[in-house]
Amino acid sequence: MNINKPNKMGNYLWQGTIAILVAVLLWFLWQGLFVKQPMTVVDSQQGQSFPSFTLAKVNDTKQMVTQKDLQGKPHVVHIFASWCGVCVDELPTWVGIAKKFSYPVVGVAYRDEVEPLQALLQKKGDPFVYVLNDEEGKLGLDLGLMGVPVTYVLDAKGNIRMHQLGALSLAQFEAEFAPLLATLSKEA
Amino acid sequence: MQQCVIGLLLGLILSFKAFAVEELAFDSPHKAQTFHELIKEFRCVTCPNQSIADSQAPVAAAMRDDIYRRVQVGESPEDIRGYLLSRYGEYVTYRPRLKPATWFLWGGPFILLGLGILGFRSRVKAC
Amino acid sequence: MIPEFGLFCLILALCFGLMVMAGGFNRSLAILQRPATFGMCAFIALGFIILVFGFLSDDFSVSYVAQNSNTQLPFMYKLCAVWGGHEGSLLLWVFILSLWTLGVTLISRAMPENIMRSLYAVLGAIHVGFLLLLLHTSNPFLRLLPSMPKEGADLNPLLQDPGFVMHPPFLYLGYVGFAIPFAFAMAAMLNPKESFSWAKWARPYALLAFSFLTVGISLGSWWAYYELGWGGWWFWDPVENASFMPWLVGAALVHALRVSSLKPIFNSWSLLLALCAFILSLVGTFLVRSGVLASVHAFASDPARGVFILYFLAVVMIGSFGLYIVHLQRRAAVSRLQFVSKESFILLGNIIFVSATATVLLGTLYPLIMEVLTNEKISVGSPYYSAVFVPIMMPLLLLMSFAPYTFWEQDSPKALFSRLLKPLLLCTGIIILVGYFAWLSLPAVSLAGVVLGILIVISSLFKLRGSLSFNKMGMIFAHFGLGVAVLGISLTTALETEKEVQLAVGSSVKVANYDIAFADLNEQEGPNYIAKQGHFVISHNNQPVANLYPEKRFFTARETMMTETAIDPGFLRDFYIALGERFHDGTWSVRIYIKPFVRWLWLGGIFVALGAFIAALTALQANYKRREA
Repeated sequence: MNINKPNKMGNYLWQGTIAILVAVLLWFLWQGLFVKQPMTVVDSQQGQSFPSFTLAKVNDTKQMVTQKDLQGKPHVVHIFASWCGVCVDELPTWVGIAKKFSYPVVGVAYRDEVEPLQALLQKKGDPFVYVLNDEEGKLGLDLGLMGVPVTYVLDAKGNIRMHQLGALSLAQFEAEFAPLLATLSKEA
Repeated sequence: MQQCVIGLLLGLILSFKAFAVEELAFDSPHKAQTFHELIKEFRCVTCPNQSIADSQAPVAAAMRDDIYRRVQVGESPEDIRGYLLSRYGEYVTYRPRLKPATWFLWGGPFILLGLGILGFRSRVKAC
Repeated sequence: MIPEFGLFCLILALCFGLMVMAGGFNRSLAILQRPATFGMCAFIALGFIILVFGFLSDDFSVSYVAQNSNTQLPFMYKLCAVWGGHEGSLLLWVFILSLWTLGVTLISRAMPENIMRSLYAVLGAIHVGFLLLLLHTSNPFLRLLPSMPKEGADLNPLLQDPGFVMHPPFLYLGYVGFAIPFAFAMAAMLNPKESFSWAKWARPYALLAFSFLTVGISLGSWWAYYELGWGGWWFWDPVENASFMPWLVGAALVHALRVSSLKPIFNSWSLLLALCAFILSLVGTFLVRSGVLASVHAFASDPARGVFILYFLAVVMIGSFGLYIVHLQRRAAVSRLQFVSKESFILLGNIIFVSATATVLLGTLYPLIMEVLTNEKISVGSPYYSAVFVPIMMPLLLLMSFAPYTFWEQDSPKALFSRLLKPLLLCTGIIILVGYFAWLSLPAVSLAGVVLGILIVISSLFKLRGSLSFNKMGMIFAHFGLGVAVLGISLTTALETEKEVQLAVGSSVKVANYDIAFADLNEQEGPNYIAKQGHFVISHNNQPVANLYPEKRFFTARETMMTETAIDPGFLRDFYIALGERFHDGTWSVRIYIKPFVRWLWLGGIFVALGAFIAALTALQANYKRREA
């Protein structure tokens, strides 16, 4: 076996690489602990137009609604489901919102069924001008839906101006949604 | 008590989204295979870490149904991937897209292996 | 009172641990180390037993017991609910560490004094770190008084299963066990003037830890297979990867130690691997408990815990790698190897193992890296690992088939080939047979896997000829096991069939060549659940082949539904049925899988573990004999 002289350069290389790798790993793990959690108000879809859809009304399945019906004046679109506990708990809040404000709230039931939906709305109240049934979830996919409940504010042209994930409270609606809707109504 | 619990049991089962999921039939075995491969590739966005093939969540089911429709119609896997990625971002695919930010991910291991082999060669005679 | 005593035990153990550490810094305190180690281990054991007692006596005044147990929980599951959550599993970690430490302490008397001092001190330090973590952020004995619940929240139904009894203990025995070779490596680096062949002494522990880890991972895979209901047995989930990385480095380590214990080469390389194996275990502990990565397995995350574990990890990493960098400074000249020699092939294999480990680490951490650097969220899963990990491992599998036939130090390709001739001929014959029957139906990757698997199995078996030492038996078993596992993996991924159908009671469906009839549906009652049980009959050519009874269980305490799959295991194929949802019209969604050769995966794992275990015992005995001489 040949014996090499101790390879100084090789040693420095090893030492340097190990030191750098250790530092980099620890740094990333540290940063990972403090990564920002996703916000409930999503900015990324601002200004985009609401996806096109054709869905039937739950209470009158012969009547079809498309995204064009959401144009002309600002709308609130609330996506929920009767199988979603948080949505069911949130429904009374929407009933309160509908009583207090005159903005049209369109309900979209995500992958839901007519009977449980109607039962739910009868039991807890119906704040919606009408409810659409996204039975197959296609509208949800087009929106990049990650869960329910979700609320959108659309302007008169049908563009998304606000997008909130999760349930909201009446106070929140008054503070954040109502001013925006007022501004949009003036624009229309 | 017994009956209450059984009733609750049935109620819980029946309250799951349950419009008929027919046996998924495909025009050709090739389409069936494409479908099965694709659904393993996408992430269920409402689950901690499962593919849409392995998840019962509604969003996962919606994605599976959509992919089924598109495969039946004859869309290419690339188009299907493109659609879901445009709506959900790269988080939804378990196969990271190849772009400058992921070059190190895809190439790094091979580079490392190459460096290792170089190191091996310096240690070994007559190679 | 008793839970407080449990907490006090842990505090006492901490004090003893500090005493053990002190002996490392101050020579005159070294005499205390051995008794202090016994004290530390005793009190950790006592603390653990007290927590177990808390579960067995339904002591819901202890918050952890209330969160993870229930009066109706069967005895066996009450026992292992101890490690059902974060605090208890961390206590299990420390308990197993103390068992390993006890083992090393009892066996090792003949080692040089300075080495023992450092060994005790390092192990003591690791105990101290984890005990501090327990006491500071994860106290398992926290009380709920004065409002004590009458009933516990029950153990997660997913965990109420025999697999859960064994999986975590074996897993921990494995990657906690790598602390011992780590401590030996540290002791060797801390005492460079001692001529201490640390590799010889550390090798049995590395082999034992590797063996346990293999069992732990195999159990986890088998458990996921029958418990989760989707027929999968490996998901490249971050927590799974966290256990796989120490396994890969551990495999490299045991081979490097074999060389280092016989010859004065690879010393620095073995040191590095010994450090990396344990540090990867710690990184895994961090990833699993800090909430940094999303996983189905992860414990409830708490950033405070994450910060503490990271501090501990940083201390260990900087301390050990810092010491290694200093060691490199002192390193003597390295010798050059012949290419065709066992040492060289082992080194090449090691390099591939390390590259594969880096791949898994990169894939696991990349979502985190992307998020930190670009604020973008990506996912890395099966498609990535199949594309990168598998090709990197394939050359290793090829190497495995002929490296055991290579002579040490110097060999010639011709001589090597002549030794391999008979096994190669047999392999070629088998491969031609397989090819004849299955050439077109297997995709390329699976075919490569099958060929490599056959090569490894046959070449390992041919090694049985000639003189047999226990060491050689260990190697043969382990390599044979891996070959069998590779065959199982390649065949099952290529040949499995899956069908999801909607069936009413009384109807049937055809899958592959089998008729599957939904014969019956009735109710079953368990200790803490109520179930709907289906009865399926699988027939082939009108002959019944299997009866399966999948269930949908409703657990009353947590009010959750669980699917209990039904599996008919077989050496050549598994039948697998899981009930999905019930529809309004009374039909059920049913998932049916036929999985050929899937059992070979776990069978192979058992052989690998067995082989490593045999080699470990042989090495232990050799060291012990050396001591007596």
